[in-house]
Amino acid sequence: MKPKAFHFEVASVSDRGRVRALNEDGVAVDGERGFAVVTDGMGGHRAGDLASRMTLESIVRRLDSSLRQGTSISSQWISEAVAIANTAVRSTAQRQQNHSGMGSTLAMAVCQDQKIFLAHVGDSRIYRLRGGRLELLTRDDSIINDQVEMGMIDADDASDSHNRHFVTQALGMADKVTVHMREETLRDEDVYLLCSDGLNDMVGEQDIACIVDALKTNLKVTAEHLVQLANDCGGYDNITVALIRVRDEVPVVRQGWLSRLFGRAA
Amino acid sequence: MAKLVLSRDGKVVNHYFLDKPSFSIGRNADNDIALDDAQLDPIEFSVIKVGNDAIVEGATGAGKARVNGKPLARQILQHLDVIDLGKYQLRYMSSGTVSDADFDRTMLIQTVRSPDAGGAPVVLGMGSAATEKVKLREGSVEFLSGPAAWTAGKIIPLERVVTTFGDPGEKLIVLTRRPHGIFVSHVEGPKLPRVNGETITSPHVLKVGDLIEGAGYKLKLAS
Repeated sequence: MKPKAFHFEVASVSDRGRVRALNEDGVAVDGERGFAVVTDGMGGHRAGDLASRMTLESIVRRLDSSLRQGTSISSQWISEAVAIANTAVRSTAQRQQNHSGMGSTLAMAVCQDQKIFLAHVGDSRIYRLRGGRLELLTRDDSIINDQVEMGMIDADDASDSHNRHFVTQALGMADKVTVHMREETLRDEDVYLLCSDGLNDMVGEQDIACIVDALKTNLKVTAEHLVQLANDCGGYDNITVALIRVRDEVPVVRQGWLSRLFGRAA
Repeated sequence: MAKLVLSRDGKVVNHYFLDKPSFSIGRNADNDIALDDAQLDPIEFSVIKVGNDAIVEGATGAGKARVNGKPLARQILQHLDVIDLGKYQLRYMSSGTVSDADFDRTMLIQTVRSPDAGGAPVVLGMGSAATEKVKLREGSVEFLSGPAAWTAGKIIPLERVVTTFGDPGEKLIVLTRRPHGIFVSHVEGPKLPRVNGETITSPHVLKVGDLIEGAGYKLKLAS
């Protein structure tokens, strides 16, 4: 049987939010090749913005050239790409006093053949909507998550914690960074959502699921609705969302009634 | 720094800064906060510090302590929570939460090496204000006409944050609940929705009684 050829619809929105002066998140999506990357910078004096931008650019540049050359994406490829980005951010942080302590989270999804490769560092997340159900596919590198897993506090209480934002890992913070990776099989109508914590801190997962499921046929509207709701709920942090919708059929270019009537493009 | 303020019969007796990893509270004299109340257990409960959080935990699970009137269960204390022990009350005060919060949450204030050499550094950030629970505008719509005849005259409440009408992939409009109103917007399809006969090109806030036409439906905002 000939393997299915998937194609991808993508959209992204990145917003400063209602409180912070700068948007230190980064985002890139590519529908033709099927990838999305979200980064969330940290560190004062605009260093977070730099760390996030450096991470994004490094990953996207590498993705771009590898996919153009037909390189197979693998866990090794991802580890290397993240290690290179990590070194770049770290060496800049160490060279310049006012950039010391800067770092960036990362969430990335890359589709190739029948697979989607997911990777993340820090507390940026990847969700998947499948059959109307939203599933969190990543586990935050955060103190609060460790506490929940050790049974120190209930998951329900985690959102009340003042430790929500203590990430235990970010690119640029140490010589080595551990990337969490997983590989999933592509399925028609799956929607992958990558986001910075400005979304999931403000908006409950039920509402995220509801919006993505109801509006997924227009991803731009979906992304705008998610960001809008996060802002309506306070918008305390930068909010970034990237969406990939998997389709196994080529989209029909709908013609207007005039062109249908006359059988040619109007 | 966070502290527990001890009071008895409404009078403040003492302050205890939470300056170590764990605090025990109870009748025994070797507790960090020892209370002379025979009704209490030898160790009634503990407070454990984790980063910016203080977590309370009952020693036996059968204690008398109540937090804000509810039996003490393992939980994160919030600024101004009151732990009632009968004769005594403890109020949790945490200066690092709401008023002092720096919203710039990812700003790093400290990088600490974990004790094992070569271990990944632990990154500490600032706490942020708790997620604000917002109230979205409530409302309902009446079906005036639609693809299915049975829906005519039916009124449905807008329960979810978004409610769509139409056929996904073909034509679709959405009603969105926001704090300051219910909005209608176009999702997809060749025709834009209309409100009271006027075509709308961007999300449009609705008033009760507005007539909405789109994606094959005629609806009225009923409340």
